[in-house]
Amino acid sequence: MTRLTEKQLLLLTIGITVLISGGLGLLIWSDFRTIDEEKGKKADLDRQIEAAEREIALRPDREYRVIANREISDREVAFLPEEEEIETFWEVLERFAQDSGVRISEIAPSSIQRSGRDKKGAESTISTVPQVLSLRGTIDEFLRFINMVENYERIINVSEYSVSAGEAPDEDGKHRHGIRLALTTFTYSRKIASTIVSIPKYEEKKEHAEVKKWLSRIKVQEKETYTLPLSIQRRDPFVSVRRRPDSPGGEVEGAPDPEYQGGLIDNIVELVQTLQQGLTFEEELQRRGDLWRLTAQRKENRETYAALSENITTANKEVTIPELRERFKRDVTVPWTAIQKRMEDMRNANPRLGLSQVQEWRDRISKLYDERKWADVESEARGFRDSSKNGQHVDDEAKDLVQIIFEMQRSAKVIDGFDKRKIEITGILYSPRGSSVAVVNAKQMTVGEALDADGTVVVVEIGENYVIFETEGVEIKKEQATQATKK
Amino acid sequence: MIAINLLPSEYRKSEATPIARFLSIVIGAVVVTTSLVIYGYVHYSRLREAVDLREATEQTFANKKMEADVSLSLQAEINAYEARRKAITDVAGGRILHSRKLDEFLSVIWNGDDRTAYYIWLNSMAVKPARDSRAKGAATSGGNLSFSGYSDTTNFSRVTNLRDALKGKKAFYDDFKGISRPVFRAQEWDDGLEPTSAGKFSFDLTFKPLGPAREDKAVKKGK
Repeated sequence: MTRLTEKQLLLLTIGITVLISGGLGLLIWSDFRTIDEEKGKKADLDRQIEAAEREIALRPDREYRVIANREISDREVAFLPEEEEIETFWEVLERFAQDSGVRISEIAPSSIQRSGRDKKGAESTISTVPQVLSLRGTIDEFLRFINMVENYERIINVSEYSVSAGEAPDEDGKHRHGIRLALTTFTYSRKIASTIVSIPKYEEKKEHAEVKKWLSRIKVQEKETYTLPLSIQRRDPFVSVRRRPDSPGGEVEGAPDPEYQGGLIDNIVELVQTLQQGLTFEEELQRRGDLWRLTAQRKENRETYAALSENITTANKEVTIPELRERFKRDVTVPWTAIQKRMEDMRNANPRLGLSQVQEWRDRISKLYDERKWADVESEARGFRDSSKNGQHVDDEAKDLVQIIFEMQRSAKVIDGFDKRKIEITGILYSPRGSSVAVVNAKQMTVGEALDADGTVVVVEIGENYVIFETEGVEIKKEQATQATKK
Repeated sequence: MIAINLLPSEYRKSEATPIARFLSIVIGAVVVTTSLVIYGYVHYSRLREAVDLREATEQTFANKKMEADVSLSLQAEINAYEARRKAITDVAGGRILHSRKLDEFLSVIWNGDDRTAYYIWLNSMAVKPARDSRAKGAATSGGNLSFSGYSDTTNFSRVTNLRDALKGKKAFYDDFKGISRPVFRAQEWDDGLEPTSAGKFSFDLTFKPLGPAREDKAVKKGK
């Protein structure tokens, strides 16, 4: 074996050194690269953590909003049937048809398909269910039918309809017309989102001020309803008035008309039922403490009560046929007495209004006042008087607010009356020294002069472009050729 | 005895490591050792530290993400409620109460059977929703109410009286954008019935588009 020369050994030593240190350098370089990658990953994670923290910071507020939404959800969807309830839709239509007198000859799905998507194509929680009905009935029967449909507790919308006048009366003497009616109802899925988060300490958080704030911001959509007034003698305009010259053309004057008297009772019975339903709803709202809707419902019930009272008095004189008198007593007088007692009980059971509730009334009325909606101020204030037994049934700490509400009601009434007098300022001769003259309703007036003989409207100040009047203790500023404003 | 090495100097056994080789070995050892130390430091300290930090951050992120997901789910729920609220508003707030409209319409047509202004009977009536208007942007109408019938005389002014009465009934007409001019034609019959002549007419009323104004009105319930 040949020995390596010194030079070769030297080269070998250097070579090995370079090889080993090069390998190690490579490893170190690789580690540095890994470190950089790790740092990059960490920076990414930091950014994601920052974004997550932003979301986390919003969680408490979102919890309050979700609680508010969940709490009000049942009220919001009160008039939407759930998907499984839709089967009762047809039963309801059948019942309404029987109650109203129309005859359903066909029910078919509309050409519009059931829809469960919103405008953007996303799956919606509300689906529409359209139906087309073919009916026969008098115009009053049809009107009652669509009124029942539209007033039904679950929403059913009338999309379109057509009426074709019937040619000849049916065997029972009624003129029935051909009617095509398209209806749409809506269903919703109770499942609101794919993930429903459980909120810790839900009951405790429910009482938080933030939840109340969000609740106050959510406007619950009301379903409009309409109470049909009695229209006993209204002619069916779809019945031709053309007659043979020798035909009697109507009933014999003075003879009792069973159909008319029966119709009279039918209409009143329907109104009695409407009022009974309205009172039940009022009791429910009172139990829930939903003062806003309670006021509206109470107002509607009082109107129905007044109309019913008048109609019963009239019908009491007009229903003369003994059999129908008996029916009138059974179906009208007896329930009417029960309704009167029920309303009396409800008045007595009216709860006292707390400070916050009176504040709510005050704020609402004040807003209407600022918007110069005098009739609405009057209506709201009357609602408040009803709810609070004329301001007596409120907590002591709210008494001052009651006075403010009453004062706003009074002022609104005065200003409304003032506005209606059509007082016009056509010219002002202003003098800062106090001898200004205003031309009001073509009459020259100075401060202290009354507009009319009884002295109810007095000029108290004349400005460069306005006049301040005083009437019934309220000062009203009216600008030249503009509307009146309270000073 | 004296031993003499006769080999040439390069073949003779060296007495010590040559300086060049010695230096290269020493430098090589230093370089390799330093490299090993640096590698050890980088690999077992710096890299481990970076990995540990990243793993800890990952863990933190996993925890935060769980909380953030809850918050996002809450937001998704809020969005769903708001979307449903809007849909409910569209459904309930934008509807025309046709029983009210029809009741008011019939009252105007009947007119208490006062024949001085007009006396008419109808042969058809139709209420139709606006078609496809939304696809082209904001709806310009909420549909139509059209009807046709007869006036008891051939006097055209009786039909214009009816038109005025429809327009004059504020509660009824408030929901409409306009009413067409009457289409009128005299009609005569020879069938033995009276009246023997009448004015055949038709009208078309256009509903205002469904929208916030109608929603406001919807708050006022009932009659």
